[in-house]
Amino acid sequence: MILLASIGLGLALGFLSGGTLGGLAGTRLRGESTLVALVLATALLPRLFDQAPARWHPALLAVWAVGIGVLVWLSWLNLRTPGIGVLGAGLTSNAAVILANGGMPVDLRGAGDTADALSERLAASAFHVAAGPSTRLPILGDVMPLPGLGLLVSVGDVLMLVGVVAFIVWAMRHGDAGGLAVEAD
Amino acid sequence: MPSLGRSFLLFEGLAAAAAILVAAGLQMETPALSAVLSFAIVMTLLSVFDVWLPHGDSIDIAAPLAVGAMLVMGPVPAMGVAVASRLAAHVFRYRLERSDQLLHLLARRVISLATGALVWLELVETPLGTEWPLVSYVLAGAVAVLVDAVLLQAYAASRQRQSMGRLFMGSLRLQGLMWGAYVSVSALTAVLFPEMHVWGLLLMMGLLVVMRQSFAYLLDIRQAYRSTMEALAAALEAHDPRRQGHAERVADLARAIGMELGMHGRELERLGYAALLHDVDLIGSEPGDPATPPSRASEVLAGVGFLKDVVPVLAVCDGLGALAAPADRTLAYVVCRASNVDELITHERAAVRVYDHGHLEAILAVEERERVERAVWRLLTPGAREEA
Repeated sequence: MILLASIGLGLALGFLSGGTLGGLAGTRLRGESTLVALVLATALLPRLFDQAPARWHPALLAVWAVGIGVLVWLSWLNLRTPGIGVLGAGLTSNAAVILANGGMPVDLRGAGDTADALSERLAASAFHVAAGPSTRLPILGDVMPLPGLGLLVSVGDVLMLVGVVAFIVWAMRHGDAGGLAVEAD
Repeated sequence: MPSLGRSFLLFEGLAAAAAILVAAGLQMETPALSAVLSFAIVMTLLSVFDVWLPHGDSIDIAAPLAVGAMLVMGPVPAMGVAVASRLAAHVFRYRLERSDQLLHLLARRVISLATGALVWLELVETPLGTEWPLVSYVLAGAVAVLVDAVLLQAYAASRQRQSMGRLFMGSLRLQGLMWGAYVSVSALTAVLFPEMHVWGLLLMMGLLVVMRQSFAYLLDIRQAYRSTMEALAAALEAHDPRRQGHAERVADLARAIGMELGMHGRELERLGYAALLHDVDLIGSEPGDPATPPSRASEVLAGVGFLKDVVPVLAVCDGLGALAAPADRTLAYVVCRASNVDELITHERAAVRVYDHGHLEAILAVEERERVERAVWRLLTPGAREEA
């Protein structure tokens, strides 16, 4: 959802700042096709946690971590492109806290009125864990309430959103006119 | 297969495996066997029928029915019938060859159906899904069709080492309306099938065949345009054999420079046509004397309707484009520069027109000219691209 929202926001801001879709299309990233497949894979894998028996969770987490690792490496390869570094930092931040705790820790203290609803969703989600005194890297978990939406997001989510928006806006404004942002893979 | 293509297939396979498992978890109730068989038979018939029609590689006629099946029966049976119909078509078309293409095709279909199903299930509990189910069908269908298209272009980009964005935009221009029609057909299938069963599918089948043939005619017309222009260029070369291959080489080089400059889609197509026809005025000139054509290329082609946006580019090449748009000037400069490069390589100065330095300088301002020259340098100098 964060990814879809950031793409939508990036496109809207890109158009408002005079960018074009042609600019976005003209921007090349290293390993961009692999990036597409990986984003889909890492977005689908967390959904399997709810369906798979608990004994499979470490294996699923390992596969997910490998996918995120390759995504971070691809971000590193494209570091010169605006926004990609921030996106990579967000991915790393989320991956670190998830791997340290076996799932994304959620701190319901920040949820306010929506704490009950979030608590139910937390109980049903195997990819998320309740934050507590033993949580590692608690600051990187889902701690920030999203105003009006009743959702909690992490520092990594915010960095990813900023990175994707910055990349899309930059590419829409400069991608086509500036030729290749980064040389072909 | 390039290593990029292999790594793409690896991660697409991982995404497909996850998609199948996610879909298995989403399945709510077992669909009627008659429904599964109806979809399987109609989709297989369509896919196999498609094998014998021209441009079968460019169009997947059964794709919207797969999305419709997902909306009617859930993702797992839809994946089953989609995989079966594609397998049948592939075996008829290629026997057991091109296995990587088949794997990509099946993975792509499975992923797009799973993502479409996820969106549909998110929407079905909301007021939008309960009050306006057709809207949720359309949105879920649109996501499935879009994911399918993005994965197809990602696969093509990984194999051809081209920009995925440019391939996607080119595909959107050519097939955007078809994708819209795919979404309509999938939503209509979801609405009609519960009422009309197999008759609803047969109605959709008729629509799809008409749609598919219309698109094939469009591709035929584009091919006819291209062939006509190649014939014109060949006529010039037949008149003076020393020019043999010049037009096609210039067109290839100009397109490569254009891609290096970030051009795509229609702009790249215009550049290719202008380069192919830049010497068409020499058809009437004496062999070996490119300096005295009886009329200019832009004048020769002025009345050809489908070349109306190529003529201004040629006019600049001819020295007639004082009021030309900046984009036309850039394209013209690339054509003239590519022609000169080909002359340098082949040393057919007597037969090929050479654009002198003053003529080139008059076409473009210094800054833009330097941008093009940098692209030419990157393209023609070994290792320059990595250095840049």
